Amino acid sequence: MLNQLNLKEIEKKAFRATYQDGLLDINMGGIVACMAYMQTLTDSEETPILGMVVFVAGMIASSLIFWLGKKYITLPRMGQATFGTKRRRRSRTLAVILGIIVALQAVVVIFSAVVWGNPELQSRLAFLEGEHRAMDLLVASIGAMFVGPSVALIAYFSDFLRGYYISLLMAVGVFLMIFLNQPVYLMVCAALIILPGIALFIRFVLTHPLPPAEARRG
Amino acid sequence: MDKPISSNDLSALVDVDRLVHEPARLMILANLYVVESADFVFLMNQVRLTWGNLSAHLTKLEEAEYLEMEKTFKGKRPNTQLRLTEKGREAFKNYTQKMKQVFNEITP
Repeated sequence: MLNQLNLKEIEKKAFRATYQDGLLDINMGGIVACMAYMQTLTDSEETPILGMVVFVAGMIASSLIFWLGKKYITLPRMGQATFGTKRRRRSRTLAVILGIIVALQAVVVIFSAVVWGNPELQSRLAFLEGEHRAMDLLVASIGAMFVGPSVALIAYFSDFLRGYYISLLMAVGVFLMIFLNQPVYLMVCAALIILPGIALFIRFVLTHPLPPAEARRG
Repeated sequence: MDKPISSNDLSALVDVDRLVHEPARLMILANLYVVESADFVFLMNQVRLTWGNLSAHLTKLEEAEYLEMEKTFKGKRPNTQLRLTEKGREAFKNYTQKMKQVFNEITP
């Protein structure tokens, strides 16, 4: 019996149970799909305002599916727990790291804008001029290196194991989308994230019926 | 105060806290020990007991002042929050230490 009493494992199992509904996968997949859609907007310049509205609506919809699904479907079936200070510390660390990554991304974007607007700097980077494939490869690699590790860090700090799979898919998707200039790859990655999420959600609802009212009252 | 277990002396097993020793209650305590608080439904899913069975065990633990039950409403839904008291945490810790010691004494 004591073998089964590994408290760390019990805590991990309880914490990871909060991801078993697949809603986070659906949410992340939705965000990836919106990113892919955004890329199609930059390619075709028809009705950009309508496109932006669709993009923002997509982002809001994927967040709403997550929050409303949690509130009205998952939590009444799964219940809720408050975890200890160690988990809160991990969340704070993750927030700090993500803040640094966002700041780094901002630096890269600002640097790119400065290079575009400065002929002298452009001439220093002239070794890449005409080498469109090399430039695409560089930009695609930077994009993938930002997205993949960021999501892997989220997975690590929030103990979300499927997050590693999502981070890999996102890195590959972003790389191919930029390198081949085809949003369809990222769209495929979004589908590969959303579909398992939907399957998990269906399984969750089937295996977790609403508990009787007495159970909620205790 | 619990007796420390000396070498080759397993008689202290008689002193183990029987309220904690019962397997279902041990799982309940272990699951509540690793969180700050949890509601009844969450605990029921973790320990896989029926609500009636779980409720009976929780009542015993509450009577021993090992846990606190707070009945509230979340919106229109009733909600029972469960939290181990300091006494409960201490009892669980003592029990696990004592059992570890006992099993260390037993060499196959």
